[in-house]
Amino acid sequence: MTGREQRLRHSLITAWTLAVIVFVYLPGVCIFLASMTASRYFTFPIPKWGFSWWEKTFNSIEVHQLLETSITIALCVTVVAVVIAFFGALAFARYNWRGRSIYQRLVLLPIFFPQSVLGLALLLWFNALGLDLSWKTAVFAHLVWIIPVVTLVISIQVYSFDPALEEAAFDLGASRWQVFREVTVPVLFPGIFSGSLFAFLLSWGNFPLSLFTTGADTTVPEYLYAKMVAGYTPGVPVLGTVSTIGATVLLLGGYGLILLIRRRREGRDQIAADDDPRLAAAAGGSGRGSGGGAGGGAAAVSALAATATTAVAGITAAAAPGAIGSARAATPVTTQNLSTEDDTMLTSIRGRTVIVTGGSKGIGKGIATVFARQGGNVLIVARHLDQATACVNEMKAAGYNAAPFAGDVTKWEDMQRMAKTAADLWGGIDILCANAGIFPQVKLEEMTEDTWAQVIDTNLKGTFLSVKACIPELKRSNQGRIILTSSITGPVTGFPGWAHYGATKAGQLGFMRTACMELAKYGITVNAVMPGNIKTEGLADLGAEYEASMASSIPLKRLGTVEDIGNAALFFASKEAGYVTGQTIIVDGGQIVPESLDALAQA
Amino acid sequence: MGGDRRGVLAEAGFRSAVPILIFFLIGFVAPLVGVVIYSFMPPRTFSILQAPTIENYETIFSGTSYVSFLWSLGLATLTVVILALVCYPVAYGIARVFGRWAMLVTLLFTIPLFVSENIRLYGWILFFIKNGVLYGTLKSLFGVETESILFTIPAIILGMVYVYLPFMLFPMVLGVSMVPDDTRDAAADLGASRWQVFREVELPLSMPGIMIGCLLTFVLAIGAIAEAKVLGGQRIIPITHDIEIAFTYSQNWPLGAALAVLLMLVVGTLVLTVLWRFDLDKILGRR
Repeated sequence: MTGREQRLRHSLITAWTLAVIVFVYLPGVCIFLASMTASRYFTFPIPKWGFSWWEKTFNSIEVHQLLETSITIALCVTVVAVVIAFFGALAFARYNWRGRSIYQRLVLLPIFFPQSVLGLALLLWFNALGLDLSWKTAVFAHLVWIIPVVTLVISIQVYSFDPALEEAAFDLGASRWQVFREVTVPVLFPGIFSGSLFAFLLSWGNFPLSLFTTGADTTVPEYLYAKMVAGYTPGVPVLGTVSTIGATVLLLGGYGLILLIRRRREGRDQIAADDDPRLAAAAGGSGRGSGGGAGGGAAAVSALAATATTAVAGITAAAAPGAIGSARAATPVTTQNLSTEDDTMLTSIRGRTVIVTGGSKGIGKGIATVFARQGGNVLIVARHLDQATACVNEMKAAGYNAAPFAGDVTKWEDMQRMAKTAADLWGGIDILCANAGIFPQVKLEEMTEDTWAQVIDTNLKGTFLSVKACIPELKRSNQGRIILTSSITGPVTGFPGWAHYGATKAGQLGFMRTACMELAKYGITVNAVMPGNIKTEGLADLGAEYEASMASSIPLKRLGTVEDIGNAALFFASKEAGYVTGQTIIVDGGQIVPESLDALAQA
Repeated sequence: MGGDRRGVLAEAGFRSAVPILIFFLIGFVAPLVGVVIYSFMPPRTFSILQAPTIENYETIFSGTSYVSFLWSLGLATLTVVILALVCYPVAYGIARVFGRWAMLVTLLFTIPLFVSENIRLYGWILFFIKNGVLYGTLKSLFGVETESILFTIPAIILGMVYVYLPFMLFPMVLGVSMVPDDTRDAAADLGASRWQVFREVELPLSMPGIMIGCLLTFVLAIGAIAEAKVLGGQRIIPITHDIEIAFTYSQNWPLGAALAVLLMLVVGTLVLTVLWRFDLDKILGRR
């Protein structure tokens, strides 16, 4: 190979490596940038820089508690792991004993195991033992995979340990304990130190094991995950940055310290060795242990390289493979609506929490989309999780904030869980759109009691239960809004096959008029939108001809869109509509206005 | 060294191993046995004191969980292949080219390992989100507006490649450093072309490290879930997500346990086969 060829090859490798390093650090840089944004939202280029979120994050008592829990767990893990792993490493790399090779493989197994599954297995195990989950069970869980990692890290140091050193000490008449204390531990100190560092940092950064085993206690990664799931929260990039910088400083500082100690010790040994030949042997030994015995700096550097590189496989789990979601698991990470189209005449609902029942399709989806586009945090409630999730994914793809919730409006427990989920995710509830409704078309003569009961249950009882469940949180919002989806069918018009449906839609208005009075003292308004003929997925099945014939009976000559309804709901939700309560808006393209077909034709 | 002392050392070896083995039994073996027992309990029950049944496994084999399994397998395989290609030049550089800079480069790749995975994936969201770092820059500098790759399958793969990179890189560095310079030079002196040296000498001799890297990334990637959830917007459901849903939303612990057992079987077989084939002492540096 010619020199030029080799140089070219080396520059290519260097360039490639630099590119990979950029790839590895890119997300960190993004988080760092986001932490220095002064506004509540992240857009790039950053419009206004500032450190206000750093200040707020550090002054938060919640954050102090998180740090306390995380550090307590990490310290306990470090102490226990290092003690057990120290002996484990001796058995791994120092002594030749029968069964050693099997032992080596068994001990490493937890490292190669998906942590999410391990976390669940431990959860079942603690449950079977009747243990209450707390930070203590988390310490145990962390130990299960941190001990093997630390064993591996210390083993690497042990491999370079020269047994002759112990032999010499024994021959000089030292007792076993003396040899252990005076020779074994000091010589292996760099390995033990690296091991502690690993144990602490790995416990600090662990997520999947903590998630299933901390119970009510919360660690920093868990907290960050919960916040991420809830959408863009300004404090998150700050904590993320702190977490990253903290780990880096600890790692670099730790190795700096090792380097310093080794330098000083070697200097001292050098002086002492002049008088004491026994110590000279020991100094030589520790020099070898650190990879060459040349200058102290070089030794420490190679020790670091050896530990870092060889900890290899060990480090594996480090980055918490297989982060699993929490109990509200399927709530995906949502993202901030970054669109700029919210400069309307109405005060923005940006950042407000919105619940839309029946929000995964039809009119509910329209309402949810309009609110999400305006920057609201929208909880999409549907009976089936997959439908709610599909809808949320569409919104996230557009850059909106939304989360799915699976629940049945006719079940009180589901509605309580719904309210709690929204409050947990976004810190409260500001707007409830009680929209869920069913409309099986059945003529009276064929209508069964069951069908009747179902429609009444979902449409009326569902309205009642969802409203009732949200009242506590709506009271806490100083701008609580309840918006019912009624209909023109029932209160104003009739349609064959919808007797039950019409009854519920009119019934909702009766409910509204009393509810608005009872809730007025909390500043909560209750209003209803009354849609006419709206183009929904169900209608599409009926065909273009049906659509055209319907449109011809409407003065505005088209069917309504689900977003037309969303916009009306948005008005009720706005700050500007704060003096409107117990009222309805008909959104029907003028459908109910004409006195007769002839009137429509003459227009 | 007398025979007596050797006996003492052998005994010391076993005694040193006792604490860790006890922990291994109560912290790892017992919980996994628990999972296996759970997987034979009737669906939707929460006690392990019932008559065993194989109903959960029947449900799995007659249902659609295999789709999730295939996704997990496929994504993990793809991740391993991409990582092998991405990491080899870097590993080669660290082991042979960078000299005194090698340690700095190693350190740079070590640091992210200590930051929790979810935080790092979150950084990618900020990068790829509409009006985020990438698209915001494109828009303000060039006026270009394109669809984000967020919540697509390529985004999931990118996330997995990103998260598991160090797990491929470090074992590979070890593997590449195991190739003696002499052997390589000898092959070259004997007239081997660069490709031949690579194929006949470097690749086979660094295989243990590469294999361990592949094994590690594969095993971790098959247990991955966060990437598909965070960056993939749940566009696909990996097997771990199925397990999680069984344990949380559907409250069907036995079914979740059965799925976990199947995953454990795949992972366990692979790990044990590969681990048993290599001499750990040699790889980890015993002289």
